[in-house]
Amino acid sequence: MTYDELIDEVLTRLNEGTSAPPVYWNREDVQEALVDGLLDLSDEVEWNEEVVHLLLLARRPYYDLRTCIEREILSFRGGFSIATQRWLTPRDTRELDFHIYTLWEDNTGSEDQAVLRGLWWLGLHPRPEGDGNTIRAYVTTMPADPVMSEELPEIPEIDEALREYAIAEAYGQDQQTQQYLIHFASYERAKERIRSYVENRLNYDRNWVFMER
Amino acid sequence: MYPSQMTMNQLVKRVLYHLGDAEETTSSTRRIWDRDEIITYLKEGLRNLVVRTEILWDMAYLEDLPFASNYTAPWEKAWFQPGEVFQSDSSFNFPWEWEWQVQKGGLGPSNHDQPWEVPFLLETYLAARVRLPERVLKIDRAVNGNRRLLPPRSSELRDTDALYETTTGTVEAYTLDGDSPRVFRKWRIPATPASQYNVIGRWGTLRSGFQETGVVIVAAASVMRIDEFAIVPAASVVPNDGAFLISAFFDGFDPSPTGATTSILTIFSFGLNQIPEFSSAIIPGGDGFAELAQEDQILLIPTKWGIVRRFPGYHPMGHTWGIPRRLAQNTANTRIEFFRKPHVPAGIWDNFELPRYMLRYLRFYAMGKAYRRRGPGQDLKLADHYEGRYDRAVARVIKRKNAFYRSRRVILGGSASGESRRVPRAQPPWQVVKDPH
Repeated sequence: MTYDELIDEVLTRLNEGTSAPPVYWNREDVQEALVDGLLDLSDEVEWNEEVVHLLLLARRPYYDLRTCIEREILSFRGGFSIATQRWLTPRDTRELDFHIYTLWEDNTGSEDQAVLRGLWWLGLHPRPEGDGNTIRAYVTTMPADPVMSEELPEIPEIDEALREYAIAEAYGQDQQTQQYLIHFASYERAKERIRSYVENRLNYDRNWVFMER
Repeated sequence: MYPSQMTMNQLVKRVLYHLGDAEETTSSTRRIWDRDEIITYLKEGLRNLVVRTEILWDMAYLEDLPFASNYTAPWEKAWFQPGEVFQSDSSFNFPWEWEWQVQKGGLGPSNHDQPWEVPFLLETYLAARVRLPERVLKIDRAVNGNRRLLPPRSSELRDTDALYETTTGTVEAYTLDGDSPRVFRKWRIPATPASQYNVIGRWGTLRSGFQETGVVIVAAASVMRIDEFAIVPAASVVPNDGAFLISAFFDGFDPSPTGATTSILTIFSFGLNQIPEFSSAIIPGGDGFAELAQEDQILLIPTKWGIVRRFPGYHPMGHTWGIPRRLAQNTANTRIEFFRKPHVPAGIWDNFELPRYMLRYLRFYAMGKAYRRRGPGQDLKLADHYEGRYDRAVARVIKRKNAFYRSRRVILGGSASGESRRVPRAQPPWQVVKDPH
């Protein structure tokens, strides 16, 4: 299903015929709501996983993931050093200070540990001596704004979630509180099912193989 | 700029639109919420979000240097003229030890009021107490010479060292209580000043590279680079008598995101020999040469040039964007790493520093406040709904901050950091498949 087709569905559900001129809500309103719904869903479920290469620079203390990755980054999940062919070990600065090496910030070499400060600042230990190395960063990001003629992301029930969100938004802007809350609750139920799908993708097969249930 | 930043004006329009009160479609007489009210809510929400989530992280140097005071004798104060600016730390004015020790909140001592006086003084004082920068929210880590400082309470310091207020030596700890809520006390009082660069020039931006031996040099060294814009031009100059030609080779220069295939090469005045005005040339996208000729000038251009954005080993402090104004060395110097307050957009055309998805949280906050406000448009159910969405978003961000660290695997006999977790259940290797039936 494409976004355009979904817009038609939402307008029908709002009793806005697609052929006659709109009375309350037009296509642009619904489109806005769908994009907003996609952002909300992506933010809550974090389904958009990406792997990007991060260029390392000599002795740079911290990398701002917002600017280095150039996407709307939600969370940093892991890193793989190309130089060492190892996964970066997550560390806290207290560990580095008290258990690794007191003057860890002075160390240079091939990176094998990482520390995240705040939400976006990634530090490596040891710090690379020169420019040019890379790490693979495993991150979750917000998807780019969709083109309306494109297909929806291939996630089960995403059409239902977005449809309910868009209808809720339309009613909300018209101060129809009861209708808004009803449809938003439907959206939340669909969202939870999508969350369950994303988080438990492997479980069906895995449960049988490993006898975990 | 990182992707999808928004201005205050854009966000206000979004909020009004979602409130069903868009400026474009609702006549001014029928509108319920005005933009000033929404701006107030958004600014309030921004502060609330950043304080609750502690997502903005920064560092600053509380330099172990003999600071200049506003004045060195009380009688000087009367001679200040209207408009003369006191230094930001107005309590740093006490020339003699007995004065600053009895003065509430006094920082000092100081016996000079101009930085250039320091080399001529017989004795200089390094302050143990330093006022925290205004943007500090919570200290995450403090170091001296890259060695972590312990954070004891002042009562513990008293037990450890009865003369902790006057003991001098290596800085090994700091405390935040006992003096004033915003005063950082180093223990011990630094005995030796921090290493510092000798800077040529008194004001402006850093234009040239530097050597780590302690001198900021005029001719740029090869360490200088511009790495924010994916443009690293290598420029060379053929100087001759009275005229020059700049040839800049752009290696792998990417076309701009807007699809433009050319960009503008701008030559800034540089070094001791100045170009009288900015000059520019259009250069093609992709690899290639650009040439710019200027008459009657002799100048020195290093191998790499431009405005310095970042130095190896140095963290940009204060803001993600901007130009370094001052470099501090780590040797024998005190640095704090902290969660900071946000930069609140001053005008409607200023950008928020948060990414777009977080600005949705501010929208929820503003809509919650707007619906809760008494008067026309009040809807307590929707107010509860949006406040709930905002609170859930805050919880989500806090959880994300720890996601990376929590992803580490717990190993039998692992480090102490895994102590709070249960040891995982023993399992057969993944190749071993048991019959499910």
